[in-house]
Amino acid sequence: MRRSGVRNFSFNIDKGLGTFLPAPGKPLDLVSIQGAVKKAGFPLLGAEATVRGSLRKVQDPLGKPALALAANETGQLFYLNAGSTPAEQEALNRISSWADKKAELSVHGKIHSPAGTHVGLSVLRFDVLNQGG
Amino acid sequence: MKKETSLLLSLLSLACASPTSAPGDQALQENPVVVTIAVGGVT
Repeated sequence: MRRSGVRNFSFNIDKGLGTFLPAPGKPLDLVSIQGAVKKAGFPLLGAEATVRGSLRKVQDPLGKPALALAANETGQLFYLNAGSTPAEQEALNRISSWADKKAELSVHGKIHSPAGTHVGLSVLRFDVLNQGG
Repeated sequence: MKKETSLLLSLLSLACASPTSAPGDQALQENPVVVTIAVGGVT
């Protein structure tokens, strides 16, 4: 492995919170990050992400219809799911109307069920950055 | 810095992630994906 893409190196270890940016042009590999945290001896309590991109109707890795946010630059798909609360489920309902449009969205959610570069995201909130053409 | 903390940072860099002290809107403007993790056992 190599150290490319590391632009600075600070971490709020007192609060146990770290914010990370994938290396430029590379998809987020959460499995590698989980492995790094585990190898260092820390339990991973949770992870959230904010992703900019466009919403698409796709098939999930199991072949079922799904909504996914295609991240800008890499095109990595973040499969969107309803969270556990009514507000999270409502957020998913509202965001679905933006599928297959050229709008640029910013979606913040909880990461779950990562498998390689396949990442699930429970929508907590989203913003429309650009409504497109 | 504790040895475990240093190790974590080193391993994260090898995972091609870039820890940042400027999360939020500023980081998001420059990057399409920003990830925040919470780890235990650091105090």
